[in-house]
Amino acid sequence: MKSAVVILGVLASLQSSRAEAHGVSLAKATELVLHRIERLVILCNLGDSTQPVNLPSQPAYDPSRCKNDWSKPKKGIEPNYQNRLVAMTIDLIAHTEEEEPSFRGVAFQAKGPDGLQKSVTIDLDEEGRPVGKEIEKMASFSSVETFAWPDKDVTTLTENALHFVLEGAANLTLAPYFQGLSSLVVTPGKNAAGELVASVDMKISDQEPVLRVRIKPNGDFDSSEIVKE
Amino acid sequence: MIRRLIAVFAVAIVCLQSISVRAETIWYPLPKEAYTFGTKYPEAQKLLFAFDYGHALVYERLLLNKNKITDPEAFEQQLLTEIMAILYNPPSVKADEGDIAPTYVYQFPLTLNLFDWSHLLHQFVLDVLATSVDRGDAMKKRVNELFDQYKSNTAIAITDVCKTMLFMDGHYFSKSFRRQFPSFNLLIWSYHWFQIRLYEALMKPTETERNKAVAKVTDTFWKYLSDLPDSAPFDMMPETAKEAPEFAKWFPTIPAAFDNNHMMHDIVSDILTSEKVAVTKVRAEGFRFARMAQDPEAFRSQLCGQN
Repeated sequence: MKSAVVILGVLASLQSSRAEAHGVSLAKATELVLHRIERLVILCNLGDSTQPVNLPSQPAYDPSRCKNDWSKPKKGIEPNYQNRLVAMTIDLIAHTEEEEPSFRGVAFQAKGPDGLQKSVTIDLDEEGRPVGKEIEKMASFSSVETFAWPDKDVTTLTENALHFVLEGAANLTLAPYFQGLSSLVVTPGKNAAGELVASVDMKISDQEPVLRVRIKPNGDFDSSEIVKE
Repeated sequence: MIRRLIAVFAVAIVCLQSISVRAETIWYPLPKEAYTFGTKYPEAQKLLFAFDYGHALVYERLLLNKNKITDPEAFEQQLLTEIMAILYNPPSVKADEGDIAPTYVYQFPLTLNLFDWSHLLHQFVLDVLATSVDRGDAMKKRVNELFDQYKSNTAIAITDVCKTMLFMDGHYFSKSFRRQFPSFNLLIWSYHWFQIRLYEALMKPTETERNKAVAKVTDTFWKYLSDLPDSAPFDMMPETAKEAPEFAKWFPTIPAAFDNNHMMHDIVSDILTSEKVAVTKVRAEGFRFARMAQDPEAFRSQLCGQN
């Protein structure tokens, strides 16, 4: 037990150099990227006159797809980033000015039927404000399959897992993940009672143990543990 | 014997009445600075009155149309048109919510009292910061006196203990308002930003700087409203300590009281929008969450102003 505490303390001090910019930690930056994704999904409009109109006023409105109002320009990102999120990465970016990109967050959807995995990259400045336009591209990060979460969407479940880490910033076990988070993967799992939970596995690096935070489908915290892989 | 018992009961009732908690939103005595912010900055003051009007109007409309809105875009557009008209031609006095929103007042009596009491604190702090000749310890002392008076009315004071964002976003109905009515949500977050940034503007050391800063905040506020939803930059509710760091340094626990108020506004919006909240449950949920807003232990954050 004592040696685990010592190891975690060393990890915490090592991570301080990767840790943050202007008081925004990597875990906080990840949370802010999720908020950005949420906003971009809310605002999503295809603006494509070659496709059918999809608006809330229409009887056939499909909220799982972007709105398509021909009179307005294309913007936002598709709702699948909110509903099919499976992984994220977060990195510090070298910069000289406060307003320059300081964090780069990438969110990955589950692979589609064509086997391709969509990703969106969002940059934040030192204060955690979005910088520049989001960039979508095909990528490959995780082979996790999509899952139909029965209550809250997966970005909300992931956000709630991050809240647990943010609140635990002063906790010796959680501090390294607060400061040095580099990626997370979300998969369906089971808690001790055999109930469905979202297992959000957070990594600092491949060499270090994983922090697993379990969140119930309604968004409530379930449990957490350090997983030695 | 019976007469003695009656006398004992009578005394007991009188004593209980004198120590019972009062829940009126009447600030007595009214601070000597009350509404002087409006004398110095009439445009900003009228906008604050317009925000109260706007909040009440949107709650009333959501309530009257609860679980019946078939075209949220059209509903939002109509509401925005009406609210913008009020913002462009704001009232010069605070409107009584009972006149604008009787259904809301009936359904959310405790919440309304919490909001009204909190808004009085908002106002009187602005009044002191806008008019205090002393810009140091005397000004700080005066604001803290007002804050103490605010907190002493425990029946209707929202707690000044930090809560996590889960207080706002962690419920079965959460995020409904921002997803169905994104432009209106951003209008409300812009209101809250405006209120918070006024505190920061009024922390400037000289009157000239304060005047300039208030004008800049007002100007930026209108820019945020110019082309909703794209013109307002908020991905999340603006937080007082982040948007007003100097104010937060001087008055470290007032930010949480304001943020908890703003989160409660969002909670009411979500309760009224979400189809998961039956019409018959609205009043009970209003009470439940109002009590949570007052409870320092509910969704208590370990890290005030740090995350």
